[in-house]
Amino acid sequence: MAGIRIENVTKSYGSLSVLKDFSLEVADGEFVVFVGPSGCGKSTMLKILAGLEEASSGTIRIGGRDVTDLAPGDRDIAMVFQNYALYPHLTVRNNMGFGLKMRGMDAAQIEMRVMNAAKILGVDHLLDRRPKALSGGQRQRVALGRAIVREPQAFLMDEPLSNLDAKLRVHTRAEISALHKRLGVTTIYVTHDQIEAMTMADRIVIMKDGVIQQIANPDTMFRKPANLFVAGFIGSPGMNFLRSPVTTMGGAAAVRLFGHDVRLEAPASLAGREIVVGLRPEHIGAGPGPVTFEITPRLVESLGSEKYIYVDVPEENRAQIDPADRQEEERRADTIIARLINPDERSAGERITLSFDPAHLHLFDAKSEVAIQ
Amino acid sequence: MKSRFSLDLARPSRRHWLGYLLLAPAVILIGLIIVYPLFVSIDLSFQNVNIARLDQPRRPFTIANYERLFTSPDFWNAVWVTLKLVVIVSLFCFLIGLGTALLVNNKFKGRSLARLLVALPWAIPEVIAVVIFAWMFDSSFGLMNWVFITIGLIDTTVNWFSSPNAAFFVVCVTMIWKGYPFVSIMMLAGLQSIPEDFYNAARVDGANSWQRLINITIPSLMPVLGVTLVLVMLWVFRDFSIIYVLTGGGPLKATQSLSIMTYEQAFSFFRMGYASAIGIVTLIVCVVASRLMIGRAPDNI
Repeated sequence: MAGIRIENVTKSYGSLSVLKDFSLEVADGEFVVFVGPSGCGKSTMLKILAGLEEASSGTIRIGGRDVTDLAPGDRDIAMVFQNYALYPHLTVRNNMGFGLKMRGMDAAQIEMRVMNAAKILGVDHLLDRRPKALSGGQRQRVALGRAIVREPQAFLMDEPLSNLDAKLRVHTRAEISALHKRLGVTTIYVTHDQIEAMTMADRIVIMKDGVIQQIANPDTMFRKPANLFVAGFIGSPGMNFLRSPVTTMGGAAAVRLFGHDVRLEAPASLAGREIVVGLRPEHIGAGPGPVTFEITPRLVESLGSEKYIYVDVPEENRAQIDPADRQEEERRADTIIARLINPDERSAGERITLSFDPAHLHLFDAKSEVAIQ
Repeated sequence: MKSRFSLDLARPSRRHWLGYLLLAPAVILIGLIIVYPLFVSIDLSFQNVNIARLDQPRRPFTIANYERLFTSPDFWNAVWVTLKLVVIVSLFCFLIGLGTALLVNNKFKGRSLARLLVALPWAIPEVIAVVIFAWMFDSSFGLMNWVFITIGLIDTTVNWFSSPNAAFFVVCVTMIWKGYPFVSIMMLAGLQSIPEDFYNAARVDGANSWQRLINITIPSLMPVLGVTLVLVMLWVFRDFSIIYVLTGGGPLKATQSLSIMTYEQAFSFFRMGYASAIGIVTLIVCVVASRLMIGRAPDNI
C-alpha cells in the first residue's frame, strides 16, 4: 500500500491536448474517483497511471518511487477493466493466478492466494469454470479477484460497473466500497456516473476537457461546487440555473427571480454584475416559505415517493448554459425542476405554490462560470 | 384480388420455400460438378476400366484396383511424399504466416503497403508463379544458383531438378511461398479480433512480450488456427499444378504426390479405374484428417 503523487502530468496527441497539467496527491488507502463526461481525459489519466500510455510530461510517484518511465508490470499496481478483460481460454482459477504466474510465483502459493481472494469475493465455487460460463456479475467479481490476488500497492478501476444492469450495479457498488474498507488499498476509480462518485469516493476529482474542475470530498462537492460545471454535474436531477442582473436591496446584493426581488447573503459590491443563480431541485418546497411564488407546472412526473415539477422560467431569468455540459437528459434553459418529497396529489395545469430559501442559492459569475463565495 | 394459386412467398407459412428456391441453383451446380463425378469415380474405382466412357456398359465389380493399390510401392511412395509435403509445407506456412501477420499487425508507417506485399504471392496465378520459380531454379542460368554461389553456400551449380532431394526442396519452397499469404491473412484477421484490453491486462500483470504471445495471442488464435490448418493441409494434399509444372513428379518419383500419381495413371497410362481408386483413397484420408482437426478445435471461445 502506498500513496500516489501525480505532478503536472500532461498528455497530447499531436496538437490535441487531452490532459492539461494534472496534479493530484492521493493519500495511502484513499479511495479517489475521477469523474467527468466522456472525453474529459479521466481514462487517459488512469492509463498513464497504469503505464499503458506515456505521459507527454510530468512525473508519477507510487509510494515515493518515481514510476513515470516504468513498464506497467513493474509498477506494482492492479487494474480492473471495463469489459473485465478475462482470458476466455483460461479457467477462473488461472485467470486470477495469471499475474502471479507471470511473476514466477510457485504453484502452491498461487493456489493459496487465489483461494483466499475467491473466498473474499464469494467466487470459490466457480474456480474451474471458464469466463464464458459466468454471469456478468460473476465476471466482474473474478476481474476484481484478479486484481486483489496480486496484493498490489494500488488498484486502478476503469468504469468497472458500466457493463452491469442497474440493480446489480447498486449492489456491486456497495461491495467494492466494503472491499476497499476491508483491504485498505489505495484505489483510483474512473466513472462517468456522478452517483458512483458520490457514494464511493473519499475524494472526487471532477474533470472536463482535460482540466480538473474541483477536487473535494462528496459533501463539499455537493454543497460548494466550484463552478457551474461541477454544480450541474453533481446531483440528480441537476441543479437549476437562473440568470439575473444584481441589484442592491437594504445594503445587500439582490436578484430578481420569478418576479420577486430576492435578497442574497452577499455584499452589495456585486451590484451591476450578471450572475447565474443555482438552486437545487430539492431546495424548492411546496407551500409558502421565505420566497414564495405561484406557478402552473408544465409537467408533473411522479416517482412514487417524490414528484418532479417542471416549471417554466420567466424570459428574464433564462440562463444560456451549454447543454453539452449536462451529463444527464438535456435540460432546457426555460425549465426548472422542483423535487417535492411526499407531495399531495398534483397534476399539470393546476396552479401550485412553491417556495425556496435564499440561503440555499448558489451564485456563479455569468461570464467566468466560477462560484462566487 | 390475387388468384388463389399465386405463389406468395412472403406468407409466413411459405417462407421456407423461398429459402429452398434460393439454394437451388447452388445445390444443383454442386450436384452436377462435384457429387455426380464423385459417384462416377467411386463406381469406376470398382471396375477394371482403362478409358472411361459413360455410354459403355458397366464392367463387372472388382476390388482388384484397391488390391493392386495397397501392394504397389509406387502408391506408398506417393503417400510418403504427400505426407512429407503436408507436414513441411504446413509447418513453414504457419511459421512464416504467423510471423508476417504479427509484423504487419503493428502500427507503423506504410503498414497498408506492407500488408499488400505480404498478401501478394497469393494473388499471383499459380502456374505463372511456378514458371517463374522454375526459371529461378534453372540449373544453368537460374537466379538461385547465382545467389547461393555468391553467398558461398555452394561451390558448384546445383542441378535442382535432377537430384531427388533438391527437386523436393524446390517444390517445398514454391509451395510455401505460394501458401503462406493465406495463413498470414487469416492470422491477421484473427489478431485484429483480439481485444486490446487482453494485452493491457497482461501488461499490468507483468507479462513480457513472449509471455503475451504464448499466453494470449496463440490461445486466442486457436479457432482460426485450426480452420486455417485444415484448409492449408487440404490445399497441399490436392495441389497439382505446382508439382506438375515444376517437376512433373520426378526425378525418380521423388515429388510424386497422390494427386500427381492419380493424374499420371488416368491420363498418361489411361488406367482410369486404378486412378479413381487412388482418388477415392486420397478423398477418404482428407475427410478423416479434416474431421479430426476440426473436431479438435477448442470450443471454449
